[in-house]
Amino acid sequence: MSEQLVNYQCPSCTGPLHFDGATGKLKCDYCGSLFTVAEIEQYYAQQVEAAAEVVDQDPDWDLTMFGNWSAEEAAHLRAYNCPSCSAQLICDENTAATSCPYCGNPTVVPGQFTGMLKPDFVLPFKLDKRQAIAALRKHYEGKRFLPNSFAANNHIQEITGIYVPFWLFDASVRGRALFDATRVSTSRSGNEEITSTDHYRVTRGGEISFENVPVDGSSKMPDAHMDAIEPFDFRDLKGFTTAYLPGFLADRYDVSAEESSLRANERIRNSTFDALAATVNGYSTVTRRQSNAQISAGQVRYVLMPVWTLSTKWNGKNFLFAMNGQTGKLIGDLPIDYGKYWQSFFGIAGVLMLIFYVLFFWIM
Amino acid sequence: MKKIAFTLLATLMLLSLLSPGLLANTSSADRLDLVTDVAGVLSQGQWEELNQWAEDLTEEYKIDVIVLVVEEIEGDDPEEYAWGIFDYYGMGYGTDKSTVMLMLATVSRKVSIVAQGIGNDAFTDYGKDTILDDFLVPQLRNNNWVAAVYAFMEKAEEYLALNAAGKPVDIWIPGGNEGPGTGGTGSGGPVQEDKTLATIATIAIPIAVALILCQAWVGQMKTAVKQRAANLYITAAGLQLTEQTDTFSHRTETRRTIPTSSNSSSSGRSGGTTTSSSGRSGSSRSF
Repeated sequence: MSEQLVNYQCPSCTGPLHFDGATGKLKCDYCGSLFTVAEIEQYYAQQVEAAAEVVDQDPDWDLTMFGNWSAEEAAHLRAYNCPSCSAQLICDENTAATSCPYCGNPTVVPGQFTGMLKPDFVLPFKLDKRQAIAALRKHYEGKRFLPNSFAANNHIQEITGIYVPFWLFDASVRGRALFDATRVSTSRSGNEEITSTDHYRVTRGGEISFENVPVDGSSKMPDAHMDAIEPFDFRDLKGFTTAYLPGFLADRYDVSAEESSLRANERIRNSTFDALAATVNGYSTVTRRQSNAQISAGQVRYVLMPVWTLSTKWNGKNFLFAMNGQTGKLIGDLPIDYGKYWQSFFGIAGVLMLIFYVLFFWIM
Repeated sequence: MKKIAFTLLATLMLLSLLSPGLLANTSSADRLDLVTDVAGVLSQGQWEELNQWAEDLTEEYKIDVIVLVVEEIEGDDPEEYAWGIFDYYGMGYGTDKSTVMLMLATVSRKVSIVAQGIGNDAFTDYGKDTILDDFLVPQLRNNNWVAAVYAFMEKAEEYLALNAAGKPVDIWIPGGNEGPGTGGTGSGGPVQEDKTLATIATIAIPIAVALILCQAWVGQMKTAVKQRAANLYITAAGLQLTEQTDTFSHRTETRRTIPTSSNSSSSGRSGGTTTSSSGRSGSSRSF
């Protein structure tokens, strides 16, 4: 006959519970909390019930709606390949790529344009190259640890307006989350201070919808760069035509919608749980214990987004900056002058130590 | 008060008939010797050495350094008993009757340090408590009466010297008492411990502040950061709650004894000396 061992954990601290004969209750070995058998059975029944429901469900995105290039459109497009980073770029017949916007390699190779999926929408550029350079100069301002030589001798090697492929995901989510919450109060009895902690089990469920969650479809463009230049104003989306391409390069997507949906799902889930957690108010501490989100797939659109990329080399290292071609938001990591870092660190610490020394040892 | 004094006087006179050594100790009807051993715990040689030591301190620092060892005291308050003897025999140095007095009852197992005048400056609340808790009570619990008396004399000499140098032994509290050179902050063993906190704060806080500021500036250099959520893309309808339960589970309690003035550690108390309306201070222990 098989025997099933049941090890109960304390709902308060997850320490092991044992039956205390003196009180007739289950007692926690660690925090000393006492629970009746009925309380623990009810608690575990709820846990089991909740666990049965706690299954994240990914959506089956409909990826069959995309169109293809027409023969006429394809005839007016040119393709370039970067032998260094394998980027594949397209442009109209009047625009030529002179260097790779991602790695700065100056020997991009013309190639044969072959049709892939045609974008549904395009967000046209609103800002030009001059504004991108001005934004980069402003980006350098106020950066205390920027090496002097980087700003002074910095020659931007390549500024390229590029339409970056993005997938936009719409979704509806049904989410549920269980939280452990506490309310702490302090009272005094005689010469004793009593800290009482009330423990609560909090459940929140709800529905929430998302629209146009963007995920870039280019493996060459760093995700961090593309995430950081968000948001785009999607009210300006236009139905795609090649008329928006002259003067700019366009990257072909090389990360499929299906692959990109994993990142979209992750962001959607996190936002759902954040929204549920935001409704748990009035507690001293709130800890999410379990959560699940069932994402119902909505539309997926393939769009081209306007991005100015500015690349430069300094001390043998590439630095890539990206500017939202619609809003002008520019981002990009800057090098750190550690000489300035330590100078600031010891300067601040030294001055404060002197002040504290005078304060503690002479004035007080 | 008078009743206590008379009772003690009667005891002293009775004992003086039985103990020639003690007779010499209590030879003055107006004033006790600085070291008076009614309980008979000191040898003649020890008494002479201690009494000379007390007279030297008294002369040097203009304060009566008194030791009184008895077997039992009247009542429960050793400080009241000590002051009763002090007043009855007209002890105290100068117009402000400066004194520091150790009163030890070997059978009642009570010990008290009382002070007045200069004694209040040299023997702060913290100072008295430190002598009692760290140097006397551990000896007295083992009935080491002589060692306890010698320990008191050593600490009395040390505390008086520090007070004369403008650094009475006291708890060190930032903003709570005066700093070195102004006569308020103490020095010596107990105070070194408290200054350690200030030293740590003087080093650690500036380093922490500098680190936080520098890391914040480093953060400005890194602007290409992945997004973990999609809050910007939540539709205008927002979250529609369909389930909302808050269920009380259980309560846990922790209890902490609040330190009182008599048992508190150095933290959470003020420095200086607490005196009565008559300008007297004292601290007592049972052992």
